[in-house]
Amino acid sequence: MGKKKETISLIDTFSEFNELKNIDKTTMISVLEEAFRNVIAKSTGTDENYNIIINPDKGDLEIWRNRTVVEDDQLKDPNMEITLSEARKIDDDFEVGEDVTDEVSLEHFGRRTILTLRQTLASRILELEKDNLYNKYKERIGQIVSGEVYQVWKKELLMLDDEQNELILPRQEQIPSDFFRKGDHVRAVVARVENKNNNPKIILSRTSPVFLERLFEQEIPEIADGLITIKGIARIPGERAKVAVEAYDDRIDPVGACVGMKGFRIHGIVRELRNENIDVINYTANTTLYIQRALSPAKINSISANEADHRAEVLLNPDQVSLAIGKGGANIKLASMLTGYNIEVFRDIQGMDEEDIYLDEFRDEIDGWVIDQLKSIGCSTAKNVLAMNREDIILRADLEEATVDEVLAILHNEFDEEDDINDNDIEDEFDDKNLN
Amino acid sequence: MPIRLIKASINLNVGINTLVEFLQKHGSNIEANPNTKIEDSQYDLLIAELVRIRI
Repeated sequence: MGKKKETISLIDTFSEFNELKNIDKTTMISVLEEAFRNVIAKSTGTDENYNIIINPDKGDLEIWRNRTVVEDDQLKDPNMEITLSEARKIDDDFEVGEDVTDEVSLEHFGRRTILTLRQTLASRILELEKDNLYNKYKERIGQIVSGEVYQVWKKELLMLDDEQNELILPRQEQIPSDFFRKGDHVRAVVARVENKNNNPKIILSRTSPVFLERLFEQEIPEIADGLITIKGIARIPGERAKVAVEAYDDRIDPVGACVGMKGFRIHGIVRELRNENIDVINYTANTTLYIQRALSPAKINSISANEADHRAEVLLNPDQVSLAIGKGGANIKLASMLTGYNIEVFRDIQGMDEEDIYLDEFRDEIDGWVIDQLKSIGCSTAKNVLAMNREDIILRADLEEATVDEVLAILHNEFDEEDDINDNDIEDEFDDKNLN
Repeated sequence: MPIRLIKASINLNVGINTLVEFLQKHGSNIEANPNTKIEDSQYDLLIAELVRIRI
């Protein structure tokens, strides 16, 4: 009866091990056998003549000692050999050379040996668990995992996953505006797994472009299905990101699918990334077009791309230059990262009249309300006003004749002065040349 | 050729007590001793049972 009880509990223990520690049966058996063999070898000097039968399905755990039958006067090692007369006492058909088996019960080992056995087993299991953990997360590199913040330090964050494994999120892998408290649930991507002294260390990241990619896959079913592919990601974590997407199906608008109705789909991602500004652009194999799209929202006039050096010079209207560069150079940096080209931005001044002056610059000479009135009829620069008919201005801007005359005089005067200066410049140049 | 129970146990990786229990259930009157010899027919019975369980 007692034997039966023990058997049942063994089956339970084995299956418990299987579930809790995630150690498969064969490994478990080999570990157990190894541990027992170690102990036997220590206490008797050799484990060669022992059989250990472990069967987790049946709950069997038996240790047997085999001794070879020898002639009565030739017994050398009582642990390995048994005399024929002794063997005949057990079973009378034993012959010399046969093996006699007898049971070794666990009680036979004694307290100290059992303690060592326990320790060996515990350390082997711990090792196996660590190995398992390492392999499990090694396979999950680049995947999103979720964990609960357990402890917050200055330089890193300790998180526990749902199996109480320790995950580490270093400060430099966090988005600058990230702020977590104990108990918060945090999503991050597995960046790498280190195995120092058989101590697996799982490093997570929220700043990696892979994290953004995985979030896109989670939020946008077309990407998960492979209808839309992400061709490139450039990120300044917490600030801004650019994602190039491509659809193989003409009926799908990749940018629209990613952004969603009123930005519904991308909104979740933006929130997860602490309001990171995400620009989704259409990928193209055409380099210049790609650079142009990468620089959006800035509108560009022309591009000259040098494929060999991976450099591109971009010409833009002066009012687009700041847009192209972006806050702290973010836009141009991201465009460079995304396209792999070193992008330089130039003001395109050919397209604009150099000498034109904004009306706002005349605020010291012309009353503000007059300027506003002129702007309301579509004249924002001096040239615009001069190009118009005097009567037209009076009529459309609803200004008095005297005021209009005054304005025109000021503007004319301004350009005359500039012409003089220019003339002087040219004359100076001539003088220089003559001197040379 | 009869073999000893321990041989069967090692070959099948099943404990002797379990083997004896099974054989006793099937009408063989054998004692739970590793040195007991079992007949080929009994060994075949054990193998058949194992195969049945595995499948």
